[in-house]
Amino acid sequence: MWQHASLYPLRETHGRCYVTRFDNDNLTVPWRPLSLQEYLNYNDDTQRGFFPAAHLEDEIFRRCCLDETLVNQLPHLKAGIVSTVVQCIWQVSGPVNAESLSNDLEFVRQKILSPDTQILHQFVQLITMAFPYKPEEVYAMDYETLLIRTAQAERKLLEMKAIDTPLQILKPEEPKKKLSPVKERIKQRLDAKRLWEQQQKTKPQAPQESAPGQQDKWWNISPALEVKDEQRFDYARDFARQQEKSVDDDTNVRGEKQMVDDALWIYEDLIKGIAQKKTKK
Amino acid sequence: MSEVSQEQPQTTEAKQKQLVDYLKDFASAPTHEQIEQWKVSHGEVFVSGFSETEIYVWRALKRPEWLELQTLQLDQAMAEEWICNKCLLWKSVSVAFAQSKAGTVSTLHEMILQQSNFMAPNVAMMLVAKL
Repeated sequence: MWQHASLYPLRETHGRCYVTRFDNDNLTVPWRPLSLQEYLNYNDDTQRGFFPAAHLEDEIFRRCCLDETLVNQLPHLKAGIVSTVVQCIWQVSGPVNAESLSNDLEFVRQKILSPDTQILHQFVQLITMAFPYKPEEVYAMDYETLLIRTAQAERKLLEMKAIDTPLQILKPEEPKKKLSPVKERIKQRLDAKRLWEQQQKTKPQAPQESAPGQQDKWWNISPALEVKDEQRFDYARDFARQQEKSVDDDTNVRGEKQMVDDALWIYEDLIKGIAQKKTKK
Repeated sequence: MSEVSQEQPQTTEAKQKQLVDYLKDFASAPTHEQIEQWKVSHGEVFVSGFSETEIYVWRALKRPEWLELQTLQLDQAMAEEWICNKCLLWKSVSVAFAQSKAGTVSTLHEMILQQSNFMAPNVAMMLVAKL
């Protein structure tokens, strides 16, 4: 497991670099990647096959290893240490295949588009457009100088009409999209709190207690719903009339007989079973 | 409550003493002093036992030896035997590698390369950190 605290001295000594750690040998090898030209040269040498691969590995190790002590001890190192370190150097210095190149490029695209640093990369681009700076020189500037150069570059490019508008750090607020009538109604319908408050404002007042003896109506009824006493249906009288009629017509007796017949048909099996049990006993 | 017995881990010296005691039954077996001398000369010393009677004491391959091998342009089988002969310090059997069991040389060769820190690229990248 890597312990970052143990790597601090290496970083102090060698700066930003890569390290390969061999725990079994308690050995940490600091190294740098090959430059693009070096990578292309060694790639060419490897493909030609003129030199043995092991000799090229030694050469790359001597070139990229940042610890002079290890380079001097190369004849005494285990054979695989150099090969393993050079494998790592090779993987970091160039693409392994077309797919890895595509993945690496996509990774860097996302990196420069990171919200935290995207604008700073744009500043570098702007300054190199306006002035004969190399990107490395711009990246070497301090923050204050960078801002001054950015403002100067922006002004120059606006005057030259190379750009139409100044840089926008903060995006303007986008106008709220107008909702369709259906969505607008839905939105209003779901605003329960607002509806409740509206209702509270238009809530009818509670009726005041009327004076004793007075029983005035406190609601207003539509004249169409007003029913006079003589028009009201007497449910009690109608029920009694129906009862008398059913007794005279012997409707109840017929209904009761029908109910018994139905039950005998439905529970026929059960009744037979009970009767058989009684006979067995 | 059951008691769990814990074995004390053996020290390197204890293991070495145990090995030397085991090897002394073999003819011309290395002594403790000779093993220590090998360590001074070659660094780490390893032992591999294919059976109770077939035991090899060997060391890791050095870089100049690997370079020498590349210049010889041997085929795979010959290269394996060359490495085993180069790294072998002592063996318990008297037969040469050419007359040994078929897998002895290949297996011993793999063990030597592994202890010499040869590894696959994907494994190697796991050992890398960017400062």
